[in-house]
Amino acid sequence: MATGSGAAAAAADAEEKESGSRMITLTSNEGKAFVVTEASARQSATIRSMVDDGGCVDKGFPLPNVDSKTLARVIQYCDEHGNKEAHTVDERAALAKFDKDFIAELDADKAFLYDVTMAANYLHIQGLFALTTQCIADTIKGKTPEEIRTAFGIEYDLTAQDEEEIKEEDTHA
Amino acid sequence: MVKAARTGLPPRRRGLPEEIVVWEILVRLPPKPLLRCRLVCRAWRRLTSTGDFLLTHHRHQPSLPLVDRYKCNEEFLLGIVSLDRRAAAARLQPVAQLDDTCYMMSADASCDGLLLLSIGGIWWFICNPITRQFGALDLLCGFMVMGFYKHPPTSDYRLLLYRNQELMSEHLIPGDRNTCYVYTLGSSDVPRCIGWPETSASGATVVLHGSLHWYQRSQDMILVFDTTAESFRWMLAPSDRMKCTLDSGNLFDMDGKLGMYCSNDGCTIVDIWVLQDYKREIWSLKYQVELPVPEIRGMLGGAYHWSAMVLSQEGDVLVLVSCDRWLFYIDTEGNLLASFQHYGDGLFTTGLKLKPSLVQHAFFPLLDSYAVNASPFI
Repeated sequence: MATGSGAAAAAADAEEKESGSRMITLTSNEGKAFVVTEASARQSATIRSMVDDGGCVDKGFPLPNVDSKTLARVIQYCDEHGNKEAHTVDERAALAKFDKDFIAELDADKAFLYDVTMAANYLHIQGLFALTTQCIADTIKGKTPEEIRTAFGIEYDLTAQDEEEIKEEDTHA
Repeated sequence: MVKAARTGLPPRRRGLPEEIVVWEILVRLPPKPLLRCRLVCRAWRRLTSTGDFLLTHHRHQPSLPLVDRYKCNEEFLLGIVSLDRRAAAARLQPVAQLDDTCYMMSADASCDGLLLLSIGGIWWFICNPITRQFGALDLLCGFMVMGFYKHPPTSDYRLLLYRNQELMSEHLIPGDRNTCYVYTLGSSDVPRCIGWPETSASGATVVLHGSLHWYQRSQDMILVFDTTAESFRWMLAPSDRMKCTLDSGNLFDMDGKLGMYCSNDGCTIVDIWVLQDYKREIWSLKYQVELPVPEIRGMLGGAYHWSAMVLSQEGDVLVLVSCDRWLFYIDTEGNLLASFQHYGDGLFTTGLKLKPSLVQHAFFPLLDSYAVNASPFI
């Protein structure tokens, strides 16, 4: 059981809900507009700082680096994490379940996974970026060097001597 | 995140920039798969071998509870246990197996992926189970080790020692008994006396705010050692606690805050306190966890004595219960999340955590009987 949350935390929550009721427009590089809650948009540190710097909330935010398909998926993540609480064990478990399903679906289409990773990096959405990069790392974990080269389109340029040296350095090989 | 990606250029289709691959993805790999990645291409080999990269890689590694198993006259096994919340599974990953030269070995302290091992708390060794480097500290034979830390001003790795009995090198090391000394790994200087004759401390330490912390049962206070000034002070322990049993009353790192846990007789309830205000020394009771005793007993197939340690992992506080061959992960609401049974000999939670590291240290080759990827590693 958790004890004590305090009046200050409640006030901060109330304030967050207040600002969360504003709507913000994000525009993809194809000119498609997506209207999201401010709480959702604030998942992006890039947008958060633009909003806090006093600004162009009414005009919306054009995102020249992100296409519509990618943006829609990114917003799906932000909606879940921006609008849901994560205070109790059950709430955190629900978010973890969302993340698990979200990344499993993305993982099935590697090119799209890379696009979402790039968008998460550009928009500074830390949770999403950690989720996608960890997913890619988990994929690499079980692959041979040859399979990794194919997956990343890397050309083989090691000499036999290089290979020998690397194997010698690797005390686990 | 990678700053260069903010230049405004559209992302390359069908691929990720090398910076993201190396600094955001490869840094997340466990050591073994990372080493295998050096065989992908020259660029990856070069980029994953620099000191900066290895340090970043170390920072990304999880800090996991270390377990050990000592098998008479055969081997000493070290492993880390982890909880995969998504799979609701507990895992044991062996990190090193040491041969019979490590007779009666135990793991006594851990710092930045390095382990301090001892035989009988008298003979001391440093090992990195990941790079498989091993060295002895013959000079320290007879000292008691209180702590293992990185000295921030010099980046040296140091041991905090307590001298309470005759040393093997008694005549070489000036200074009194029943007082503290510091020793720099790889240094040719003998341990230096720093005073503070009041007390010795042992057991798991928590490093926070540049200081080591121990709970001292005899004083019911927290002993604090400032790793920069190399001086001691006392801090308040939480008051109004339930009476701790002898083997409980320990500190842990609760997501950057000092936590303390204690359990009742029979270890059925674990109280978890957090130091809300470090400067003003204000503690609050954060959780009172009632362990799922019938479930645990059911799996053990009888009534056993067990011990509990508390740790924080990815923002969650977990109770790790260990009993003979079993490990149980329990959340703060008393739900059993996962269990693990080790076949063979019993496992022991050391109370230490290991954060795997491939970082190379200059002190290693200077240690006595230094070896890499050789005996005592199997």
